[in-house]
Amino acid sequence: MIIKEALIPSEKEKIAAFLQGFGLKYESNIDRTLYIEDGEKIVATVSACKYIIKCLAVNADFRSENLAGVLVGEIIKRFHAEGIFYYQVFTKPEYQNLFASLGFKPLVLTDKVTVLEGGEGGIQETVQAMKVQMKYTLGADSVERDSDIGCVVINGNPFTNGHLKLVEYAAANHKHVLVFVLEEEGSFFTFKERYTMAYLALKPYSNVLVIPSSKYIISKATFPDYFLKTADDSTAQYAKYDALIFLNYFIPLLNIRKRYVGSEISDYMRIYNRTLSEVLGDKLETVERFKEDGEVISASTFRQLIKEGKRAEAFQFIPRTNYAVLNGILSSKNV
Amino acid sequence: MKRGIAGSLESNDALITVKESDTLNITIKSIVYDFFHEQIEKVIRDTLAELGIKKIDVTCEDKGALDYTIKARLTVAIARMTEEK
Repeated sequence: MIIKEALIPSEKEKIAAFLQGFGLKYESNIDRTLYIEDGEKIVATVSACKYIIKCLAVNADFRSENLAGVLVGEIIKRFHAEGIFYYQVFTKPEYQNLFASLGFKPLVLTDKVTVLEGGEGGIQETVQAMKVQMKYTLGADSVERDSDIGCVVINGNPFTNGHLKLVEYAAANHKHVLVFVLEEEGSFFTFKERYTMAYLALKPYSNVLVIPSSKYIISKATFPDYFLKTADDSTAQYAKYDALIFLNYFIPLLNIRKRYVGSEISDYMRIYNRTLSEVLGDKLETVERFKEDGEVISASTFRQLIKEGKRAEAFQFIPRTNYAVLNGILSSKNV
Repeated sequence: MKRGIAGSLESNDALITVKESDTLNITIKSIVYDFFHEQIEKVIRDTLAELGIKKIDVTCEDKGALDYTIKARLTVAIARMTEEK
Protein backbone atom coordinates (compact mmCIF):
# COMPACT_ATOMS: atom_id res chain seq x y z
CA MET A 1 0.00 0.00 0.00
CA ILE A 2 1.41 3.37 -0.97
CA ILE A 3 0.94 6.33 1.35
CA LYS A 4 1.32 9.64 -0.45
CA GLU A 5 1.82 13.10 0.94
CA ALA A 6 -0.27 15.87 -0.57
CA LEU A 7 2.13 18.62 -1.61
CA ILE A 8 0.84 20.22 -4.80
CA PRO A 9 -2.39 22.26 -5.01
CA SER A 10 -4.16 19.79 -7.33
CA GLU A 11 -3.69 17.00 -4.76
CA LYS A 12 -5.03 19.24 -2.02
CA GLU A 13 -8.08 20.09 -4.12
CA LYS A 14 -8.80 16.39 -4.53
CA ILE A 15 -8.47 15.89 -0.76
CA ALA A 16 -10.79 18.83 -0.08
CA ALA A 17 -13.40 17.35 -2.44
CA PHE A 18 -13.04 13.93 -0.80
CA LEU A 19 -13.45 15.41 2.69
CA GLN A 20 -16.52 17.34 1.63
CA GLY A 21 -18.25 14.01 1.06
CA PHE A 22 -17.87 13.38 4.81
CA GLY A 23 -19.08 16.83 5.81
CA LEU A 24 -15.53 17.87 6.65
CA LYS A 25 -13.75 21.06 5.69
CA TYR A 26 -10.11 21.03 4.63
CA GLU A 27 -8.74 23.72 6.93
CA SER A 28 -6.20 26.28 5.86
CA ASN A 29 -3.91 25.83 8.85
CA ILE A 30 -3.09 22.21 8.00
CA ASP A 31 0.62 21.66 7.49
CA ARG A 32 0.71 18.01 6.50
CA THR A 33 -1.68 15.70 4.66
CA LEU A 34 -1.29 12.01 3.88
CA TYR A 35 -3.55 9.96 1.66
CA ILE A 36 -4.03 6.55 0.08
CA GLU A 37 -5.41 5.95 -3.41
CA ASP A 38 -7.12 3.06 -5.10
CA GLY A 39 -6.30 3.63 -8.75
CA GLU A 40 -6.96 7.33 -9.26
CA LYS A 41 -9.48 7.60 -6.48
CA ILE A 42 -8.66 8.76 -2.97
CA VAL A 43 -9.89 6.24 -0.40
CA ALA A 44 -8.42 7.53 2.87
CA THR A 45 -6.76 10.66 4.22
CA VAL A 46 -5.50 12.23 7.42
CA SER A 47 -3.99 15.64 8.18
CA ALA A 48 -2.07 17.35 10.95
CA CYS A 49 -1.55 20.87 12.18
CA LYS A 50 1.52 21.02 14.44
CA TYR A 51 0.84 18.19 16.93
CA ILE A 52 -2.90 17.96 16.27
CA ILE A 53 -4.28 15.19 14.06
CA LYS A 54 -7.44 16.03 12.16
CA CYS A 55 -9.48 15.53 9.00
CA LEU A 56 -9.36 11.73 9.10
CA ALA A 57 -11.70 10.09 6.62
CA VAL A 58 -11.89 6.62 5.09
CA ASN A 59 -14.10 5.54 2.18
CA ALA A 60 -16.85 3.27 3.53
CA ASP A 61 -15.91 0.45 1.09
CA PHE A 62 -12.44 0.27 2.63
CA ARG A 63 -13.40 0.38 6.31
CA SER A 64 -12.34 -3.19 7.01
CA GLU A 65 -8.76 -2.63 5.86
CA ASN A 66 -7.63 -0.51 8.81
CA LEU A 67 -6.49 2.32 6.56
CA ALA A 68 -7.07 4.69 9.48
CA GLY A 69 -4.53 2.74 11.52
CA VAL A 70 -2.04 2.80 8.66
CA LEU A 71 -2.36 6.56 8.18
CA VAL A 72 -2.33 7.48 11.86
CA GLY A 73 0.66 5.18 12.42
CA GLU A 74 2.50 6.90 9.59
CA ILE A 75 1.70 10.39 10.84
CA ILE A 76 2.95 9.44 14.32
CA LYS A 77 6.21 8.29 12.76
CA ARG A 78 6.50 11.64 10.97
CA PHE A 79 5.87 13.38 14.30
CA HIS A 80 8.67 11.42 15.93
CA ALA A 81 11.06 12.25 13.11
CA GLU A 82 10.41 15.92 13.85
CA GLY A 83 10.73 15.62 17.59
CA ILE A 84 7.00 15.76 18.34
CA PHE A 85 6.27 13.15 21.00
CA TYR A 86 2.91 14.33 22.22
CA TYR A 87 -0.16 14.53 20.00
CA GLN A 88 -3.86 15.23 20.14
CA VAL A 89 -6.82 14.29 18.00
CA PHE A 90 -9.94 16.35 17.49
CA THR A 91 -12.65 14.20 16.01
CA LYS A 92 -16.33 13.36 15.97
CA PRO A 93 -17.57 11.31 18.93
CA GLU A 94 -18.25 8.30 16.69
CA TYR A 95 -14.52 7.93 15.99
CA GLN A 96 -13.56 7.79 19.64
CA ASN A 97 -13.28 4.00 19.68
CA LEU A 98 -11.20 3.99 16.51
CA PHE A 99 -8.61 6.28 18.09
CA ALA A 100 -8.78 4.50 21.42
CA SER A 101 -7.82 1.33 19.54
CA LEU A 102 -4.80 3.19 18.16
CA GLY A 103 -3.54 3.90 21.66
CA PHE A 104 -5.12 7.33 22.27
CA LYS A 105 -6.69 8.29 25.59
CA PRO A 106 -9.92 10.30 25.74
CA LEU A 107 -9.43 13.74 27.22
CA VAL A 108 -12.70 15.58 26.72
CA LEU A 109 -16.03 14.48 25.34
CA THR A 110 -18.69 16.96 24.33
CA ASP A 111 -21.82 16.18 22.34
CA LYS A 112 -20.11 17.04 19.05
CA VAL A 113 -16.37 16.88 19.61
CA THR A 114 -14.07 14.28 21.12
CA VAL A 115 -10.51 15.13 22.02
CA LEU A 116 -8.01 12.36 22.64
CA GLU A 117 -4.31 12.49 23.46
CA GLY A 118 -1.44 10.13 22.78
CA GLY A 119 2.30 9.87 23.19
CA GLU A 120 4.35 11.11 26.12
CA GLY A 121 3.20 13.22 29.04
CA GLY A 122 -0.56 13.29 29.42
CA ILE A 123 -2.65 15.79 31.34
CA GLN A 124 -2.01 14.14 34.72
CA GLU A 125 1.74 14.59 34.31
CA THR A 126 1.29 18.17 33.17
CA VAL A 127 -0.81 19.04 36.19
CA GLN A 128 1.63 17.30 38.54
CA ALA A 129 4.45 19.44 37.11
CA MET A 130 2.34 22.55 37.80
CA LYS A 131 1.87 21.39 41.37
CA VAL A 132 5.61 21.12 41.87
CA GLN A 133 6.01 24.68 40.66
CA MET A 134 3.22 25.86 42.97
CA LYS A 135 4.80 24.12 45.92
CA TYR A 136 8.11 25.90 45.41
CA THR A 137 6.83 29.38 44.62
CA LEU A 138 3.57 29.67 46.55
CA GLY A 139 4.53 27.39 49.44
CA ALA A 140 3.60 23.90 50.56
CA ASP A 141 0.13 24.99 51.72
CA SER A 142 -0.86 25.75 48.12
CA VAL A 143 -0.87 22.08 47.19
CA GLU A 144 -2.52 20.68 50.28
CA ARG A 145 -5.92 19.08 50.18
CA ASP A 146 -7.70 22.10 51.67
CA SER A 147 -5.77 24.76 49.76
CA ASP A 148 -7.64 27.82 48.56
CA ILE A 149 -6.79 28.63 44.94
CA GLY A 150 -8.37 31.17 42.62
CA CYS A 151 -7.59 31.23 38.95
CA VAL A 152 -7.52 33.56 35.97
CA VAL A 153 -6.78 32.65 32.36
CA ILE A 154 -5.45 35.42 30.14
CA ASN A 155 -3.98 35.97 26.74
CA GLY A 156 -2.59 39.32 27.85
CA ASN A 157 -2.04 40.81 24.44
CA PRO A 158 -0.74 42.99 26.12
CA PHE A 159 -1.26 42.83 29.90
CA THR A 160 -3.49 45.77 30.85
CA ASN A 161 -4.73 47.45 34.03
CA GLY A 162 -7.92 45.47 33.45
CA HIS A 163 -6.03 42.19 33.79
CA LEU A 164 -4.28 43.58 36.85
CA LYS A 165 -7.57 44.54 38.51
CA LEU A 166 -9.07 41.13 37.75
CA VAL A 167 -6.10 39.33 39.30
CA GLU A 168 -6.13 41.73 42.27
CA TYR A 169 -9.79 40.93 42.79
CA ALA A 170 -9.10 37.19 42.73
CA ALA A 171 -6.08 37.61 45.00
CA ALA A 172 -8.22 39.39 47.58
CA ASN A 173 -10.69 36.48 47.65
CA HIS A 174 -8.26 33.58 47.76
CA LYS A 175 -5.12 32.60 49.56
CA HIS A 176 -3.36 31.87 46.28
CA VAL A 177 -4.03 32.75 42.67
CA LEU A 178 -2.87 30.99 39.52
CA VAL A 179 -2.65 33.10 36.39
CA PHE A 180 -2.47 31.02 33.22
CA VAL A 181 -0.98 32.85 30.25
CA LEU A 182 -2.06 31.36 26.94
CA GLU A 183 0.98 29.61 25.54
CA GLU A 184 -0.12 29.59 21.95
CA GLU A 185 1.46 31.89 19.38
CA GLY A 186 -0.48 33.87 16.82
CA SER A 187 -1.22 37.03 18.82
CA PHE A 188 0.33 40.45 18.17
CA PHE A 189 2.71 39.83 21.07
CA THR A 190 4.59 36.53 21.30
CA PHE A 191 4.03 34.17 24.22
CA LYS A 192 7.40 35.15 25.73
CA GLU A 193 6.50 38.83 25.57
CA ARG A 194 3.04 38.26 27.02
CA TYR A 195 4.42 36.06 29.76
CA THR A 196 7.12 38.58 30.64
CA MET A 197 4.57 41.39 30.90
CA ALA A 198 2.23 39.36 33.11
CA TYR A 199 5.14 38.23 35.25
CA LEU A 200 6.50 41.77 35.75
CA ALA A 201 3.13 43.29 36.50
CA LEU A 202 2.24 40.57 39.03
CA LYS A 203 5.65 40.22 40.64
CA PRO A 204 4.70 42.41 43.66
CA TYR A 205 1.94 39.95 44.63
CA SER A 206 3.51 37.15 46.64
CA ASN A 207 0.41 34.95 46.49
CA VAL A 208 0.12 35.04 42.69
CA LEU A 209 1.84 32.56 40.40
CA VAL A 210 2.03 33.22 36.68
CA ILE A 211 2.38 30.01 34.66
CA PRO A 212 2.22 28.97 31.02
CA SER A 213 -1.23 27.68 30.16
CA SER A 214 0.02 24.27 28.95
CA LYS A 215 -1.23 22.72 25.73
CA TYR A 216 -4.59 21.99 27.31
CA ILE A 217 -5.76 25.55 27.43
CA ILE A 218 -5.94 26.52 23.80
CA SER A 219 -7.19 29.47 21.83
CA LYS A 220 -10.09 29.53 19.44
CA ALA A 221 -7.64 29.57 16.54
CA THR A 222 -6.37 26.08 17.29
CA PHE A 223 -9.77 24.64 17.97
CA PRO A 224 -10.77 22.91 14.76
CA ASP A 225 -14.18 23.92 13.53
CA TYR A 226 -14.08 21.88 10.34
CA PHE A 227 -16.98 19.67 11.31
CA LEU A 228 -19.07 22.25 13.08
CA LYS A 229 -21.76 23.94 11.11
CA THR A 230 -21.89 27.52 12.31
CA ALA A 231 -19.50 29.97 13.91
CA ASP A 232 -21.66 30.17 17.04
CA ASP A 233 -21.73 26.39 17.27
CA SER A 234 -17.99 26.23 17.00
CA THR A 235 -17.56 28.92 19.65
CA ALA A 236 -19.89 27.04 21.99
CA GLN A 237 -18.07 23.74 21.42
CA TYR A 238 -14.72 25.41 21.96
CA ALA A 239 -15.98 26.97 25.19
CA LYS A 240 -17.30 23.58 26.27
CA TYR A 241 -13.93 21.98 25.62
CA ASP A 242 -12.21 24.70 27.63
CA ALA A 243 -14.72 24.43 30.46
CA LEU A 244 -14.57 20.63 30.65
CA ILE A 245 -10.77 20.60 30.79
CA PHE A 246 -11.11 22.92 33.76
CA LEU A 247 -13.94 21.03 35.39
CA ASN A 248 -12.48 17.55 34.99
CA TYR A 249 -8.78 18.16 35.48
CA PHE A 250 -7.62 21.59 36.66
CA ILE A 251 -10.29 22.22 39.29
CA PRO A 252 -10.07 18.85 41.11
CA LEU A 253 -6.32 18.28 40.68
CA LEU A 254 -5.18 21.80 41.57
CA ASN A 255 -7.91 22.54 44.11
CA ILE A 256 -9.14 25.55 42.20
CA ARG A 257 -12.11 27.04 44.01
CA LYS A 258 -13.05 29.59 41.41
CA ARG A 259 -12.14 30.83 37.97
CA TYR A 260 -12.60 34.53 37.25
CA VAL A 261 -13.43 36.08 33.92
CA GLY A 262 -14.00 39.69 32.93
CA SER A 263 -17.39 40.56 31.49
CA GLU A 264 -17.22 40.61 27.73
CA ILE A 265 -18.49 43.03 25.15
CA SER A 266 -18.24 41.16 21.85
CA ASP A 267 -20.93 38.65 20.83
CA TYR A 268 -18.40 35.92 20.35
CA MET A 269 -16.94 36.31 23.83
CA ARG A 270 -20.43 36.48 25.33
CA ILE A 271 -21.28 33.05 23.91
CA TYR A 272 -17.97 31.84 25.25
CA ASN A 273 -18.57 33.17 28.77
CA ARG A 274 -22.15 31.89 28.84
CA THR A 275 -21.05 28.36 27.95
CA LEU A 276 -18.27 28.53 30.53
CA SER A 277 -20.72 29.45 33.25
CA GLU A 278 -23.18 26.74 32.18
CA VAL A 279 -20.53 24.08 32.66
CA LEU A 280 -18.65 25.51 35.62
CA GLY A 281 -21.68 26.80 37.52
CA ASP A 282 -20.67 28.52 40.75
CA LYS A 283 -17.01 27.73 40.04
CA LEU A 284 -17.04 30.68 37.67
CA GLU A 285 -17.35 34.31 38.62
CA THR A 286 -17.84 37.00 36.03
CA VAL A 287 -16.36 40.27 37.17
CA GLU A 288 -17.55 43.53 35.69
CA ARG A 289 -14.86 45.02 33.46
CA PHE A 290 -12.91 47.77 35.11
CA LYS A 291 -13.18 51.21 33.64
CA GLU A 292 -10.69 54.02 33.55
CA ASP A 293 -12.21 57.46 33.16
CA GLY A 294 -15.44 55.83 32.05
CA GLU A 295 -13.69 53.85 29.37
CA VAL A 296 -13.54 50.07 29.37
CA ILE A 297 -9.99 48.78 29.47
CA SER A 298 -9.21 46.23 26.81
CA ALA A 299 -6.11 44.93 25.13
CA SER A 300 -7.67 45.40 21.72
CA THR A 301 -8.20 49.12 22.41
CA PHE A 302 -4.53 49.32 23.30
CA ARG A 303 -3.48 47.67 20.05
CA GLN A 304 -5.80 49.93 18.07
CA LEU A 305 -4.30 53.05 19.65
CA ILE A 306 -0.77 51.82 18.99
CA LYS A 307 -1.68 51.21 15.37
CA GLU A 308 -2.88 54.81 15.16
CA GLY A 309 0.40 55.98 16.61
CA LYS A 310 -1.13 57.20 19.89
CA ARG A 311 1.40 55.58 22.17
CA ALA A 312 0.93 57.93 25.14
CA GLU A 313 -2.82 57.42 25.07
CA ALA A 314 -2.43 53.66 24.81
CA PHE A 315 -0.02 53.48 27.71
CA GLN A 316 -2.54 54.75 30.22
CA PHE A 317 -4.15 51.28 30.07
CA ILE A 318 -0.91 49.55 31.01
CA PRO A 319 0.54 48.95 34.49
CA ARG A 320 3.41 51.35 35.20
CA THR A 321 5.74 48.45 35.94
CA ASN A 322 5.57 47.45 32.28
CA TYR A 323 6.31 50.80 30.60
CA ALA A 324 9.99 50.12 30.03
CA VAL A 325 9.64 46.57 28.80
CA LEU A 326 6.67 47.39 26.59
CA ASN A 327 8.53 50.31 25.01
CA GLY A 328 11.37 47.94 24.26
CA ILE A 329 9.07 45.30 22.77
CA LEU A 330 7.23 47.84 20.62
CA SER A 331 10.50 49.25 19.25
CA SER A 332 11.65 45.74 18.41
CA LYS A 333 8.47 45.37 16.37
CA ASN A 334 9.08 48.73 14.65
CA VAL A 335 5.79 50.29 15.66
CA MET B 1 16.60 12.29 25.62
CA LYS B 2 17.16 9.52 23.08
CA ARG B 3 14.19 7.75 21.58
CA GLY B 4 13.49 5.12 18.99
CA ILE B 5 10.36 3.97 17.21
CA ALA B 6 9.61 0.94 15.03
CA GLY B 7 6.61 -0.90 13.67
CA SER B 8 3.16 0.26 12.65
CA LEU B 9 -0.46 0.24 13.73
CA GLU B 10 -1.48 -2.24 11.07
CA SER B 11 -3.07 -5.56 11.95
CA ASN B 12 -0.61 -8.21 13.12
CA ASP B 13 1.99 -5.57 13.87
CA ALA B 14 2.94 -3.43 16.85
CA LEU B 15 4.21 0.13 17.19
CA ILE B 16 7.03 0.13 19.70
CA THR B 17 8.50 3.31 21.17
CA VAL B 18 11.56 3.22 23.41
CA LYS B 19 13.09 6.00 25.46
CA GLU B 20 16.17 6.28 27.68
CA SER B 21 15.24 5.99 31.32
CA ASP B 22 16.64 5.57 34.83
CA THR B 23 14.24 2.73 35.53
CA LEU B 24 12.65 -0.16 33.68
CA ASN B 25 9.23 0.85 32.53
CA ILE B 26 7.04 -1.23 30.24
CA THR B 27 3.64 0.00 29.02
CA ILE B 28 1.48 -2.30 26.96
CA LYS B 29 -1.62 -1.36 25.05
CA SER B 30 -3.14 -4.17 23.06
CA ILE B 31 -6.33 -5.16 21.32
CA VAL B 32 -5.85 -8.57 22.92
CA TYR B 33 -4.60 -7.21 26.24
CA ASP B 34 -6.73 -9.45 28.43
CA PHE B 35 -5.50 -12.61 26.74
CA PHE B 36 -1.91 -11.83 25.93
CA HIS B 37 -0.47 -8.94 27.95
CA GLU B 38 1.58 -11.29 30.11
CA GLN B 39 2.94 -13.02 27.02
CA ILE B 40 3.79 -9.66 25.39
CA GLU B 41 5.54 -8.45 28.52
CA LYS B 42 7.53 -11.67 28.69
CA VAL B 43 8.70 -11.28 25.10
CA ILE B 44 9.74 -7.69 25.82
CA ARG B 45 11.59 -8.64 29.02
CA ASP B 46 13.33 -11.58 27.34
CA THR B 47 14.40 -9.44 24.39
CA LEU B 48 15.73 -6.74 26.73
CA ALA B 49 17.63 -9.39 28.69
CA GLU B 50 19.11 -10.76 25.48
CA LEU B 51 20.27 -7.27 24.53
CA GLY B 52 21.63 -6.72 28.03
CA ILE B 53 19.39 -3.69 28.72
CA LYS B 54 18.17 -3.17 32.28
CA LYS B 55 16.86 0.41 32.26
CA ILE B 56 14.60 1.64 29.51
CA ASP B 57 11.13 2.96 28.85
CA VAL B 58 9.16 0.76 26.44
CA THR B 59 5.70 1.53 25.09
CA CYS B 60 4.10 -1.17 22.97
CA GLU B 61 0.92 -0.48 21.03
CA ASP B 62 0.05 -3.95 19.88
CA LYS B 63 -2.29 -4.82 17.05
CA GLY B 64 -2.13 -8.57 17.49
CA ALA B 65 1.55 -9.00 16.62
CA LEU B 66 3.18 -12.41 16.94
CA ASP B 67 6.06 -12.87 19.38
CA TYR B 68 8.82 -12.60 16.82
CA THR B 69 7.28 -9.45 15.36
CA ILE B 70 7.35 -7.81 18.77
CA LYS B 71 10.92 -8.96 19.28
CA ALA B 72 12.00 -7.60 15.87
CA ARG B 73 10.21 -4.28 16.36
CA LEU B 74 11.72 -3.82 19.81
CA THR B 75 15.22 -4.67 18.61
CA VAL B 76 14.97 -2.15 15.76
CA ALA B 77 13.50 0.55 18.01
CA ILE B 78 16.40 0.12 20.41
CA ALA B 79 18.93 0.15 17.55
CA ARG B 80 17.39 3.40 16.29
CA MET B 81 17.54 4.88 19.77
CA THR B 82 21.22 3.96 20.14
CA GLU B 83 22.08 5.37 16.73
CA GLU B 84 20.45 8.69 17.44
CA LYS B 85 22.98 11.42 18.24
